[in-house]
Amino acid sequence: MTLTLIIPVRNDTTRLRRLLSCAAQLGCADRIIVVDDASDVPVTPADILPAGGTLDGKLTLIRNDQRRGPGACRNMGAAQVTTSHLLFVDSDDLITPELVGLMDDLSGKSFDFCLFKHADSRVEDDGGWGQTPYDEEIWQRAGVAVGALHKADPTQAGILSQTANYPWNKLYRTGFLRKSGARCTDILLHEDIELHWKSFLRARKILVSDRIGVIHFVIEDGDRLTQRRGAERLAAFGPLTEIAAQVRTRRGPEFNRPFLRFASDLLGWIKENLEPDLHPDLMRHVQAFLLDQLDGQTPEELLPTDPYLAGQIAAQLQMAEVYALPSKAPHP
Amino acid sequence: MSNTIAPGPDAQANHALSLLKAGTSKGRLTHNLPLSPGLSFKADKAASLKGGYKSPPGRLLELDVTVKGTPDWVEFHVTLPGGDWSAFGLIGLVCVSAAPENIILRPCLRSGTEGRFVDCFFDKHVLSHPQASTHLDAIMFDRRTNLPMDAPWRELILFLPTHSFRWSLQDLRLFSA
Repeated sequence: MTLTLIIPVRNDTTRLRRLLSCAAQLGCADRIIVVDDASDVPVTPADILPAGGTLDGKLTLIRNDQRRGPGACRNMGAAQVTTSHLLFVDSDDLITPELVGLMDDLSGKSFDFCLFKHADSRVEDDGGWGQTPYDEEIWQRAGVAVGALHKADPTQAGILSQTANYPWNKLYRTGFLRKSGARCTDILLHEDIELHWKSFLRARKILVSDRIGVIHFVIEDGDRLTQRRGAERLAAFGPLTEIAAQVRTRRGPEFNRPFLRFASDLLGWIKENLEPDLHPDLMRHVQAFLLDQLDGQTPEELLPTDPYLAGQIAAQLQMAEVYALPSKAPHP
Repeated sequence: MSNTIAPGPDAQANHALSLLKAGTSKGRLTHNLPLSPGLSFKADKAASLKGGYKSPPGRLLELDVTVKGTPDWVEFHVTLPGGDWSAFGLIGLVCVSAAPENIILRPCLRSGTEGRFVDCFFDKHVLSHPQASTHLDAIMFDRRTNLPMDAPWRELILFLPTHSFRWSLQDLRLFSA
């Protein structure tokens, strides 16, 4: 098993250097592809390679002259991969020694991708270690919260598809990624929805590990893309609509409800993280999207099997109707 | 990894644990199963016991235990050195564990005596639950009357549930001072 780390970066050589030092120390990467997304000062190998020469000869550095976003960078990196497996990592993430154990465990096994746990910096800030309670609950519900390696059956895969749609919690077989066409969307935000869902929809063999392979740092302020509150967030409807069509046609029912729940949760999150003057536009999209997904059903029909989802969608549709009212009163 | 030159009551056990962690193995459980030199799984033969164990790369042990009947004990044993410990003041343990269904374990220091043994339990139980968690505890020698300073043999024993359970022991380390 050989592994390439694909790392998009923009104006963040300090943390990228930290990540590469970590990779050098662990010795888990056969190749590293860094895609510089038009950093103000172009990234050079000297900026990021750790001392000692461990990674010399393993680094490929690609640069975009125009900013294209992390999704496009990941796709560019993936196109260059020659190793059997690959892992997307963000420049401000860290990999852990558990990733080495995971690779040992996966060596010689056939799989399309392996989903593993991660540590979220917000959990560590609260004195804990590991995933957020939201993600942890999903893993527990799927029955895979404990164990170094499991094969996920279709029902478990459906449940796990609702976990955070991060690119860096999955170790991919390169051949699967190429053949399935699973890739990031070329948009600035929500670019990883397509990769996440196509991976689940098209994989025939998913392995799952409770090993914490990556530490993800969430920084609540700053000028990162994740802090954006503008109209670019509405671009999420592109991949959501495409995936919705594929969920309906490509796989059995185990992904229908999880995707609807994922989409409803995400749309709620987008509303919380969008400038209020864009809410009417958002809610128009939300209404059209959800009605299309319900396909003639009412939210009440979801009540017996998923009261949480039924309540949330009903509330979202009601809110959309309120926004559609011609009123001078402030919206909720 | 291959050298064992560290001194102290914890050194031998830490070496044995690191060897198990470095390798990989799996198999069926029996009532007396050596896992690695100095490490073993033991259960009361009075009850029927089935299941398997795995030692994944970089981790210690995963147990999947099915019990029929009511055994008096199901245990994970770690051999500790016998002899005189009076030059030391404490021994402690740190472990990282998880279990799909919450389980409670009791760690204990067992010392051989003339004819039998005496158990000295750590103050705290280990709670293993679905999210991996770290547990730390220590025994201060001068505050225990049931811990002989000189003993022909000693073991750290983790008393496991006596019902069916699954358990992942991701890491276990001892320390002494």
